[in-house]
Amino acid sequence: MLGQKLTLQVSKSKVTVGEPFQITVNLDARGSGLKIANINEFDVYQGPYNSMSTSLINGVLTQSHTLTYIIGAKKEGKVTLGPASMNSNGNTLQSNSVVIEVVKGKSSTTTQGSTAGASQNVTPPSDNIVDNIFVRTSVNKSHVYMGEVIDVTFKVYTRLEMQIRNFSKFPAYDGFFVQDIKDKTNGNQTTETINGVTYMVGEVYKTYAIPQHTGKLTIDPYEVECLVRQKSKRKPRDLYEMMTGGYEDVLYKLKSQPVNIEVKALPEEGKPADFTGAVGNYTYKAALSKEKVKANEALNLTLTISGKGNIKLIEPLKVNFPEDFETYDVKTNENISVTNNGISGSKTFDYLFIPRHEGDYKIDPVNFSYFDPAKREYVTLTSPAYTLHVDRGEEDAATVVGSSSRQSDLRVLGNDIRYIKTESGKLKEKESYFFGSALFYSCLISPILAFMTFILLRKRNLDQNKDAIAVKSRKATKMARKRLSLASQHLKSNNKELFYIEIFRSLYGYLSDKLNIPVSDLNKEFISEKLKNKQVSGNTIGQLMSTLDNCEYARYAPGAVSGDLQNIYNSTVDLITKIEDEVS
Amino acid sequence: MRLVKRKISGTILLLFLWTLSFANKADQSIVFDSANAAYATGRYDTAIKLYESILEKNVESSELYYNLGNAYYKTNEIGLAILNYERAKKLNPSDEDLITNLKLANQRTEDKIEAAPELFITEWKNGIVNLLNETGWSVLCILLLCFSLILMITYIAAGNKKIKKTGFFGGLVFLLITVIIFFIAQHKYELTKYSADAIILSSSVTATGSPSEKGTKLFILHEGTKVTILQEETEWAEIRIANGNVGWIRSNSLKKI
Repeated sequence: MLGQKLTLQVSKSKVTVGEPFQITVNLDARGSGLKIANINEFDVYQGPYNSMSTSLINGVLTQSHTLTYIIGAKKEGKVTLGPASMNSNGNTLQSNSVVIEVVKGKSSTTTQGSTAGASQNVTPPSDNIVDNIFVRTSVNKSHVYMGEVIDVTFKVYTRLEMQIRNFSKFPAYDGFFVQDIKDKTNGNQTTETINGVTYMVGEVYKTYAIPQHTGKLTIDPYEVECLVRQKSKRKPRDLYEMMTGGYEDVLYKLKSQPVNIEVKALPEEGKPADFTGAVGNYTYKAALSKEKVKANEALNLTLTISGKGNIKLIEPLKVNFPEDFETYDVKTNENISVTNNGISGSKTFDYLFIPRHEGDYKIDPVNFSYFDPAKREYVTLTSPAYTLHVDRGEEDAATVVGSSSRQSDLRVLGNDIRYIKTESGKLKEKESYFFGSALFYSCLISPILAFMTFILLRKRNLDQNKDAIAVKSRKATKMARKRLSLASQHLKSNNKELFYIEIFRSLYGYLSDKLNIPVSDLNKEFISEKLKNKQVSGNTIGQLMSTLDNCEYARYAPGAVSGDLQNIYNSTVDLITKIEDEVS
Repeated sequence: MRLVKRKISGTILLLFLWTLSFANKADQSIVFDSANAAYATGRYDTAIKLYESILEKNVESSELYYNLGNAYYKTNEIGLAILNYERAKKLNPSDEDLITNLKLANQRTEDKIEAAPELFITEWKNGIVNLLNETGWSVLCILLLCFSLILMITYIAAGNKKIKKTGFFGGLVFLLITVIIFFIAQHKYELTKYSADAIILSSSVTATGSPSEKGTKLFILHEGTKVTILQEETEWAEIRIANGNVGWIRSNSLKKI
């Protein structure tokens, strides 16, 4: 058959990435086995839709076979689509090819300038589908503080009759904590005018996103599949179709644009030390179950935070209980509702603790700080300080029976360096040392000097003492000579007998004076004993005894005693001197 | 007459100097007290500044170094804390608080160096020498000398033979001990005066095999580690660490105790 022609048409030759557009392959015969080169460069959203028609006009049979695709470009650049090929009556037909320029940028949100009536009933040309229906992600604010709640709404804008089939892809919120509204009201329909064109707006989905870190965060595109009733392109099949225009339902995949959110860090200025990241608007309440208990009774401290904001992310507050209390894990209760009005509710922290010993204890106030994004400032709320009076508890039977001692191991709470010294000690000059200093050596030498001085002094003293002894013995000799003065007269007159008597008498008189004994009581034994007691050497005593013997002997037999009188006189003087020295 | 006048004026001058030095010391004890107050309220930076200002007057005491070390410890300056604890230890080696805190500070340093084993005799010797500071040993030496001389005097002066004997031998023994203590004092004095120990203050420093950046890299030391300086060249110091390893590091990365 001659004149058979295969054509490839596109609804748009310049598209953006992902923007759906229509391609049509038309053959004026019946065909099969359609192949389009480079079609895999695109995403096929819908199709192929087959539509065939046969008409007999003026005896000429006209056949046509149309295949329609809705496709979208995968990436930007120039892509040559086609040629398409098809088999017909044993021949393979080739079509033209089309160059499609794919650009990056806004896709479906651009609206055409068409002012062709806002009425729903107006059926736009199918080429304009993209301009008449699109999806948008809208946020209530795009510059937020970290932790501030953002309302995110996914809306479908349409000027066509349509039906949402399903939300094909939930956006992955990178960097966000997401709270979905539980009971979403889908039927929320409004109208909105963009660039003079009025659209029906349907809220598909609403959620709350809380940024978890600072910087530029992106809400990923959101995809919706919807069924659009549109005028059939094919020729009307029957009279009814001709009258109504012939509609068909086409499934479209719509994709929103990503939305950028600028997240600012919370201001450092005035940031309370106990701030843990609560952002919103809150009230705070604290309650202690009892203020007077007995030891070993359990108590509850309840802290309640209620308000609007990122309440779900609030961590249990830190309570400084007295170290001696037994504390248990915090019990957290949440009562949070996520509605169209925002995230609100309350969070309750229950602290269970048991005082183990009696006494008065103080529970420090617990601060709760949050950032109010509306006022752009931090707010710190404080609980009251509680004074807890713990009475002596009743000892349970087991403790009393089991062990009499209530001792427990010492609890070591921490490890720290020892405290500073409060006395400055003796400040000394740097690099000054006692050892080797003049003071050191003088301290070392002065005792030695003192020692030597002592020895010298002692020696001199001893010498002087020796002199004193000499004086004493001189005195003794003098005294002896005096006592022996009569004997010396007798010596001069050489009267032997009287001489001896006088010697004897003088010695006895001397000893009687010395030993303090009357002359009548004296005898030789007694004298010798007394002198021995008085530390007089035996030699001297012996000499004394022999002198006394000689004298006695000479008294009775003067002729029998020989010897020089002068010698005897001298030795007697010597003897008295000696005794005088030695008697102590 | 003139002589007397001169004498009086000399005495007045001395008295004046003495009161001046006294006033100076009183000032420093006020500074010390206010530094302690700053420490007590947690203003450690202020406390450090005040303690350092006393040290700038060229005076020192074990307590001062100890408190300064504490303040540095609290501001996480572990290297400086250890340096000041070590300086305090030089002046008062047996203070228990000091030993505890130095131990805690050393636990926070990064380098764990196993000390090279020492002969037990060396260990004993070090233990004994470190019992007292040089002043303590010196004073002990003087006291022992006095005691031994007193014993000698009893030997010479006593009449009783027993006491004489005790005095003689006791005096000899104590004289011997005095001589030993003198040498210990001298040793301690030399250790203190010519101390070659230093503390690393840079957070990390690489020891090289020669005094140059190009030298072979031997080992890395961190803040707070104690080293012994073997010799010094311009900007470089040869150091030995506790396990016996030797290397060169830049002089500005350490400070002598």
